[in-house]
Parts: sequence; C-alpha cells; structure tokens
Amino acid sequence: MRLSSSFPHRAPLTLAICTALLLCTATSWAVKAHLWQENTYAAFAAGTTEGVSIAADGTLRLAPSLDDFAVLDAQRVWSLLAAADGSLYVGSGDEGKIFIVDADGVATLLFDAPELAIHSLALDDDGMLYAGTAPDGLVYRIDPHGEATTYARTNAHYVWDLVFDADGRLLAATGEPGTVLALEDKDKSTTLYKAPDHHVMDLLVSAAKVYAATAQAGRVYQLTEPGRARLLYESDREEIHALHADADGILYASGLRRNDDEDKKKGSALYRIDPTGATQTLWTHDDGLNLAMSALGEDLLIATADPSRLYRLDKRGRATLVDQFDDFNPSRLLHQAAAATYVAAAQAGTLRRLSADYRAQGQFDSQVHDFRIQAHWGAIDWRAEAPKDTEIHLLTRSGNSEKPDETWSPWSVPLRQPGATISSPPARYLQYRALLKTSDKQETPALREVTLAGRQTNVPPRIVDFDTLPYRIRQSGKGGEQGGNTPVVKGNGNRRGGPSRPKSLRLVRWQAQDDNEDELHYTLYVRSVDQKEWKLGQENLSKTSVLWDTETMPEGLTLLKLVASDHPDNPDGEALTDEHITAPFAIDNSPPHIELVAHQSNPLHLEVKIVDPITPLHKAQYSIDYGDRLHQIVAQDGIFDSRQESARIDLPDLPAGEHVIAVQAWDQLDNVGTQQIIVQVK
Amino acid sequence: MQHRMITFAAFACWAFIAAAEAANPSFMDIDQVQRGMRGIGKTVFTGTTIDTFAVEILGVAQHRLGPRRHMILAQLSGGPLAQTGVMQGMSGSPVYIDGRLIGAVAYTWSFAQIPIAGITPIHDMLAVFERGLEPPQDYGTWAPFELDAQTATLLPQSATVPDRITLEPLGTPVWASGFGAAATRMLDDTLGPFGLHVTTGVDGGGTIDEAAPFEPGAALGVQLVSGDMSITGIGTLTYVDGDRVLGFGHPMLLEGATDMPMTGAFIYAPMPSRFLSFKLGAPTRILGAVRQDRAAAIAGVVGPAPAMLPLRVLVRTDQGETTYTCQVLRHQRLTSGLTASVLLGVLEAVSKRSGPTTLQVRSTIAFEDGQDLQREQIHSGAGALFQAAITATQPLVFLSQNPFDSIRLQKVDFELEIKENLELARVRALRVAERQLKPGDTFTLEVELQPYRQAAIKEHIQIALPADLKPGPLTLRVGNGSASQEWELERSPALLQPRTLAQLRQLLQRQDRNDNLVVELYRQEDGISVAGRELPGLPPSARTILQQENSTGRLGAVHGRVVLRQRQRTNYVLAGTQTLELTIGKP
Repeated sequence: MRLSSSFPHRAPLTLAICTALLLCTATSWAVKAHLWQENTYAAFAAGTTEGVSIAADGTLRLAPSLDDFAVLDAQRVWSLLAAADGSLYVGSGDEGKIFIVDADGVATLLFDAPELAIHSLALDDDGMLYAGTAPDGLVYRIDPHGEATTYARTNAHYVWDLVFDADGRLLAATGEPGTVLALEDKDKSTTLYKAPDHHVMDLLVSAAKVYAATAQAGRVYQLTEPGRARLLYESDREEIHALHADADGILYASGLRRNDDEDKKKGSALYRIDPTGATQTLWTHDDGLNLAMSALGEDLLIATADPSRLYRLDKRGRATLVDQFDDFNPSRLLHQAAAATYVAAAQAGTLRRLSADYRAQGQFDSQVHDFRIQAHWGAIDWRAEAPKDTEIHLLTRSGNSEKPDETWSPWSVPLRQPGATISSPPARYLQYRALLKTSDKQETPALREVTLAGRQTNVPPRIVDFDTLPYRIRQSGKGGEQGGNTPVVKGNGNRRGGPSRPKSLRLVRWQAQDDNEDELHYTLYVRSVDQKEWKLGQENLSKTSVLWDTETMPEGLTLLKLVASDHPDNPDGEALTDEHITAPFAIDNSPPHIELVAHQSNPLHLEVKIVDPITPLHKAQYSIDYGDRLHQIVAQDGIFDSRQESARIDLPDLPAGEHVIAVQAWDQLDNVGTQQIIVQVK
Repeated sequence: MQHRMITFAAFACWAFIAAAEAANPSFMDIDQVQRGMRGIGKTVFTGTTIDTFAVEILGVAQHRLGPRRHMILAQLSGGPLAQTGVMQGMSGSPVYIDGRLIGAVAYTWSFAQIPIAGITPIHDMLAVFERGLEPPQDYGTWAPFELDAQTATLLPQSATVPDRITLEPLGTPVWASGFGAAATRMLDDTLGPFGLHVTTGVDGGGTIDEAAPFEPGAALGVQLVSGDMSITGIGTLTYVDGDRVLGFGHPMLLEGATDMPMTGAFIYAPMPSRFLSFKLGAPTRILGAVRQDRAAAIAGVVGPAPAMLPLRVLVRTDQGETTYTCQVLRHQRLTSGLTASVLLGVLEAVSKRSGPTTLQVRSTIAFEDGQDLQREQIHSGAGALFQAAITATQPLVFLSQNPFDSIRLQKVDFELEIKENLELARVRALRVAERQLKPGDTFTLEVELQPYRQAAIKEHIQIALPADLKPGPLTLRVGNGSASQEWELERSPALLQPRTLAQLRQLLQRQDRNDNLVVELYRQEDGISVAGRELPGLPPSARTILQQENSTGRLGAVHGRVVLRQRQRTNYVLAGTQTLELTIGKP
C-alpha cells in the first residue's frame, strides 16, 4: 500500500484523476487527492481471498480448483501414501484407522488399529503396507486384505515416518525418544541413530543418502554410519518437520516455531541446504505454522495452519499464496505428478484434490483503508489482463468504523471499466472487492494494481502551541544565565555597542496540525497592549520558529498573534485558518536607573535607590575602587523582585582618603545599570 | 363351660369352613368388600406353624396406595396381636372373607396401639403375575446405568424413625446375621434408599432347615446375602398357584423384573415394639426365585434359585488364618454396598472396630470373560477397617455404574492381613546433594520419614535422570501411592476419565500402595490427551494439527509432564508430601 499525494505517471490513470479533479472543483471539498494504491504481495496479502491466489509479484489470479475428494470416518488425517494403481492409503486419527481411497474418492476401511493415530505409512514391493502409530509407537504390517500383525515395537511413543532406504530396509523415524530405526524383520530392529532431539519427524532418502529432520532443536542430519550422523543444519526453529530434495541434490527443510524467543514462538521458515552444506533461509513468515510440504513440479507446496493457507514457493523462495481457508485446515499434502495434489484435513476426515484447472470464480477483499477524515471519492482505477472468457469486476464500500459492519454502505454495483467513479458514500474508511471470473478453466484474469482516489473534507488547521521567550546568549565560562527552558545562543555576552544587542532577541515558536496533512503557512502580527491594531510582522512563514530582535520595538508589554493557514493546498476562498495570541510579555532593553547618596556619618554609608520602569529588578552589587571583589547588595525588603528597590551600603573599614564606590543593578531581562559615587574618608 | 364349648365348636366349624375355602381358593373383588365384614388372616407367629387371626373390615380407602390403587382397612385380632399390633413380617399375610381371598396385610401405622392394618387387594397382587415370571435377561449383569442427580434425590433415603404417626408399608424386616454395629450401619446406608429396615438377626443363614409347609400364611424370605453371613428380608406368602407364588402385598426393592433368591423362614417370636413390632426370624431353605418386585406384591417361582456372586474373605492374623464365604445378590446398586458390609462385618468379627490397626488388603475381582482385576492396598490407623472396606469395594461401585458396557462378575476374593499396631510414617523432609543437575546425572535422594512415636529414619533412593531431559526447572515431589494418584488427577482429569470399560478396568488396576514412596520428577509443560490417553511431548506440528478441532469432548488438557516416576516400598503406611525444585542444565 502506498499513500501518495503525487500523480502517477501512467497516462490512463492520470486522465482519470484529472477528470476527478475537474469534477471536484465545483464542490466545497479540498482539491488535494489522496491516492490509495495496491500492487504488491504484502498489500494484497493484508486482504482476504476466497478462490484467489496472490503471486509473489503482487498479481491476483484465480486459485486452482480445490475440490472435495473423499470423506472418511475419522477425526483427522495424519498420513497419505499413493499406491501404484492410483489409489491412496490414508492414515487417520483419533481412532487409528487406515482407509483405501480409490480414484473416485470412495473410501474403504482397511484396518482399525487399537492405537489413536496412524502417523506414517510405507508400502513395500509386495504390496504389504506398514503403518507407524501413536501413542505406543507400534508398526503394523497389513496385507491387502487388511490382516494386520504387529511388525515392530519401537519403544517410542510416536512413529512419525516410515521409508525404505536404497537397500530396501524399512526405516522408522520415532519420537519420544527421537531415533532412526532399521526394521529389518518382524520384531527385529537396529537403532541407526539416537538423536539428541526428542523427535525425528521426517526421513528423506536421496541419492542413497539418508537425511533426518528433528524437533526440539529443529535440525537436519545426514546419517553416515550406524550410530552416527552429521549435523547439516541447526535452525532457529523448534521443529523441522519435512524435507525435500530436488534433482540437483539441494535439500529443502520446512521448519516452524522460533525457538530463540519465548514470547514469539510462532512463524515458519523454509531453508535451502546445498550439497556443499551451505544453508540459506529462503522464506520466512511470522504468521502461520508450516505443517506439510510436497513438491509441485519444480516448486514446493506448503500448507500452514493459523492461518490455514497453501503457499507455492519457487526455488528462490518467492511465495505465491495459492489459497486460504476458513473452514478447512490442511494437515498433509501428497503430490502425484501424473494426477493431482491431495490436501488432507486436520480438523476432519476429509481429502481435497488440487487440480491444474482454475476455479470458475474467486473474490478478493482488500484491507480497509483509512483516509483519516471523511472523504469524497474519486475514481477507482486498475491495471489488469483479462483474456477471452475471463472478467474482472471491482466493487467498493465505505463506512466510518475501522472494521466493516452493518453501519457500512452495501457493496457498490460491480464496476467493469477502470477509471470509473467510486459510488460509495463519503466516509472515512474505504474497501474494495475484486471479483475474478472465468468460463475457461485454463485461463484466469490477472489483476496487478488497484488505485483509489479520495478527497478529504478540508478542516481548519489547529495551532497547538505558541509562545515567546528571551533568547539568551551562553556566556563563556561560568556566570552564564541559563535558567529553566530559556534557549541560549553561544557567544560573548559582554560585548557592548555591537551591531545587535543579543539581549534584545526573543525566540518565537509554535506548533500546528492539519488533519488533511495540508501544507501550512504562518503569519505573525505584533502590537503593544495599549494598541488596538495588529501590525504585520512576518508572513508566509513555512517554518515554525523565528528569532525576533526587539531592539527597535517600543518598550513595554507586548502581544504576538500567529495565524496558520492551509492556503498552499486549498484554493483561495476555501483555505481555512487558525490563530493564537500570546500572553502579554515585556520588551525592555533599558538598564535600571541607580541613585546613590553618601552619608558621612560614622560609619560611612550609602543610600541606594534602583528603579526600572518595565521589568522587575533581579540583583545588585558594588565594588570599591574598581577592585575585583564584588559585594552583593541586600534589598531593604530582603529581595530584589520589584521594579523599585532601596538598599543601604555600610562602609565601616575604609582607610582615609578618596574612594570610588561603583554599583551595578540587573533587571530580570539582564539589562544592567551602573552608577558610581566618590566618597572621602577622614 | 357350655358357653366355652359352643364357642370352641363354633370356632372349629368356622376354621374348618375357612380351611376348605382356602383349599379351593376364590377371590373377592374389592367392590364386594364391605365395612363390618369379618374374616380370617393367616400368618406364622412362631416357628413355621401357620396361625390364623381374626379380621374385621373397617372400610375401603380409595386411591390410598396410588392412582386407582385402593386399600382395605381392617382391624386384626387374635394371637399376640393385642400386644404387638400389626407386625413387620406379617406383610403378605392372606386375608379371607367367607373363604374368599381379598388380599394381603401390607400396611399399618407406626406407634399405633391397636392392630389396624391396610390390606392390598388381591386383584392388584394377581396382576403382578401378568408381568411374567421368566428370569429377566442379563439380570445380574451390570448394564450401563446412570442416575442423574435430580432423580437420585427422589429416591427414599435411609430409613429413620418418623416423628409422627404415619402409614407405613409394613416393610420387610431385613435380618442381618453376622454383622457388627459398624457393618450394620453400613448396611443401613446401602438398604435405606430402598426403604428397608435392617435388624440384627439371631442366627446365621442356612442353619435352620425345617421342612416347613410352603402355603399361604407361611413365612417367606428374599435373600440378599447367604453363607457365613446372611441378609434376608422376611414377609409372608399370600397365594400359591402351582409353582407360582405371591407375597408381601408391597414391594421388596420395587425394581420390577428381578431375580432374587426366595427362601422359607423360621419365626422365633413376635417382638413387640412401640414404634412397629416385628417378627424375629431367620431364613431357612432356598425355595426358588423372586422374579417380580412390584408395588402390590412380589411374585416368584418355586424351583432353582438364581446364582449369587461368590465372595471369599481370607483373613490372616497372629491367631491364624480363617476363610469366610458368602454369596451376595447380583444387583447393580446393592452388590458393592452389601460386599463392603460383609467385608466390614468380617473385620469387626476378627479384629476390633477401632484402635491401632494395620491392614493389608489384596482383592481380586474375576470377570466372566476370564479377565480379572487385582488390587493391593495397605491401611494403618484407628479407622483402617472402614478405609479398607470402602477402598477395597470401590471398584465394584465404578464397575456396576459404568456407562460403557454390560459386565458380569464371576467371583470376588479378598485376602486380609491384620496387625494390631500402627505402621504409620510421615514424609518429613527431602534432601539432595545438588539441585543443579544435568540430563543423565544420577543422584541420591534422601527422604526423611517420621514414624509414629519412633525416631526419624532416612530412606535413600537412587535416581537416574533421563539422558534426553530438556534443560529447565523440574519439580521433585515425594508422597505415597494415593498422593501420586491425586497429582495425576490434578495434572489431567481427562486421563482419569475412562471412555471404555477396558479403560475403566485399566484405571482401577492402577491403584498404588500407600506404603510405596513414590518419587516423581515433574515439569511444567502443557500437553494433550486424546480419548483419555496422554500424548506426551508432542512436537509443534502435531500439537497444531490436534488443535484444529471441529468437535469437542475428545481432547483434554494435560498440565505438566511426569518425566520420571519411581517407587520404593517402605515398612510404613505413608502420609504427607514434600517437593523440591531442581534445575536441569544443558548436557
């Protein structure tokens, strides 16, 4: 999904949007269009599909047909095996039944084991079926008539897989404990490998080599010699549940549940292990647990749970979401090259058949797009291919709740032509539906991109913060005045008579919002509290702060007004504004006035009177004979906090002769006044 | 004197006529019964002699016994009735007017000072014959049977003495011989819900075997237990038709078609009581089988008796070894309680009711399919006898009430070893040398036991950790066999809820002895059970597949996993539990 305020470059869409803009100029709606465009796998995967697949390149097509094939008297399917005649052996739970399903999908009970589940099946050249069970870990040998004998007791709880190796030995993968056993004859077995993991989930015999996938630590081993195995890969998953090897000897391992984070024990991955042992994570997904994997031509088919989905991955790990289900949870996959792919259910005793034909129709419902405030709709455009006998229709609906409910509008009539105007009522949220149809099972329409335009109702900007404060200059060394949140500027605060008096600088700053995300321009006005008319300061500001030198301003209490306007994104007459006025603040660039009167009494003392007409005083000090030592003056009322203060300076210990007493006084804006007096001490 | 002679002559004549009519019985319909009519009744007051008593009809109470079930009211006299009133044991006593059978004495009022009886009309009783007297199919086989809680509250509760004058079915005095006070109380709990009053008998079953006449008025017994101990309900025979008989005038258990042994009875004496007098009696020989148990009567067939459940109790004490044998009625709701009462009765007889006792019980329940169920348990303490009787017979309760399948027992054996001391100890402390362990480590667990009034002792148990143990925290817990079963119940109730009769048998077999020191290593790990079977340590993919469920009721949650369970037999019946947290590091 991409939200854009710029026009796309493709001509038909540009035309469509321009048409929409022309239409909207006659309305009171803001002219800036928001475009919602979807054209990627991630964007489409955020929606829901029914009979529609999403290709890795972000194309929607009709999904292949997945038809009901067989119904079994069982609670779930654990294992599938193809017989030479095209029929299927199906191992089930929770009553441990094995069925034969013929080519027409007719199921016949072959054997009902006392166990709970048939987790694995294997067929030898003589037509004898072997079935691995749980929870007692038995292996049964069953003849074509359903007569069964207990072939092996594995001393494990589970027999997850049964395969014949290159020498024709029946190998069993067990769980609790995790072992690989060679079942050489009835009641005669050899432990080929005892894994450190609790389960050996899958065995793969490829090019005379035997590979094992495990759970607890999700690992892949290659069995080397009896009792030994080489660890090919230790994944970051709890379980590698399936292995596949392609014609080039590359192994693919399907894993699930991260094991490195207790809080995130979910998600799945597909790993590639090449013959040199180099491994690569081909594909990961945070949701969904891989439950089954099979070859599908050159690709791999993966079934997941939570959500229930079928993915098709090419050898570069690019995934196509083939289909997803609400009422069907795949547990096992079986691909028969010449016939079809069978998908077994985890929640019921059912089998479905995935064919090469496309479904007659499918439906994609997009995610809901939030235009943030109520919007008027423009056009819906799409880019697609629709071969002969196929169709694509798009529908829209809108509403003001985040999730579609009964308050939403009904779906619009199907739109057949790209660029059609969206007829759904103005609202904050918008959703579209794509209907894909074909009357030729070999052809599917392809929808590659959908773009929808919405024009938000213009709402005024909002000034959320506006203030001004003296802009202090950082003094070098100690003694700098850095109080509270007052911003400071580095520099020499002691310079006098320069081109600019830093103490006269004020920072004016503000923040404003616009729910339309319109660009805002600002205008500043100023006046004294005793004036009535605002005087223009600066206009068309796009920034949100200015430094204001008040040196030329008349002194006294002053007000600032800020006006924010969205006129850059709205036509004249439709732009909206917000304004805000500061609290009165003082402009004072004059020093305090100091009067000194000496009294030749004993001891000698001075009377000090300090006055600042605008700003309260802050402090005062004096020096004697220009000496370095500065003496603090204590106000008569104990604190310098008024615009007029008095004080007394006692000078008891001055030696006889002439002395210069210099007094400095500060107001709260750091204006400094100085006065001196010459006294004679006898 | 003349007067006396006339009276005697009149009585003799009347008795003759009545006897003749009885020999050629006919019935009087209730519509013909009128107030003021006089007649006779028949019953056994002592021994096996059938005596007569006088009856004067007081009226007919309409619908008194139920819808369209009327009751004839009559005042009785003669024999001991002036002192006793109407007695328990008289129920079923036939009443004749003009030689025609009108019904059977069946009801009276508790605390009544004159013998006024309620009579069940004969036609209501004869209707019971129409239900058929063939043995019911599979009777004695415990068929699936569930009694919902609401229904259970409607059943009569244990018989108690009422606090007001009420009309009582005369009831069937149930004579229990060989039972002590505690066993009798247990019997009350068992039979009370059926409205039966248990009275301690004066003789064991089978010792009195007189060739008494079996005709209307004779004492009639229904046997629940026979052998070295006996429990028999006693009433009176009302009517005989070939090999078919009617009795009681009210039900025994009111369970419809039935198959219970029918006996004769010997009456020692009438026993006056202010509440309700009764006949002091005991069963004699087996005469046949009761096949119907209905509101108006029990009906039976003279001939072979139904097979009862053989029960053998072998007791070993320091005085030697004794074997008791009994036969117990095969009954879905009674067998377990009767068996427990017999067992407790034996224990009371050979041991004592309370005080220090240690008791080891081995029980074998043999099924007719050739399988058997064997259990062992040991109890020690003041209440050991009761614990033993209840615990040892508990499987019979579960089996009889199982909702899965019919089941028939072949026999039940108990072997008891009784010591008159206490062999109790409490698990007081645990200690290990190191709490940080690794998979495959072997360590020694020291368990401190505190025997009753003895110095503490230490048991040492070698424990070998599984080599594939997952790293992480483990809880080590120690207790007796019962504690282990309680832990298991907490861990997964679903695992202890059988779904088949076979699973029920397996679960019952799993009883763990309380002198076993059970050590468990337990890990917090959520698991799943399917159809009552645990699937330990499932990998994520299989767990996910199982959780994709379209149905309910098959999957159960398992809270935690027992990675090791060891038992060590001790010399004590153990109590108390202790736990210790361990940490398993990486190998």
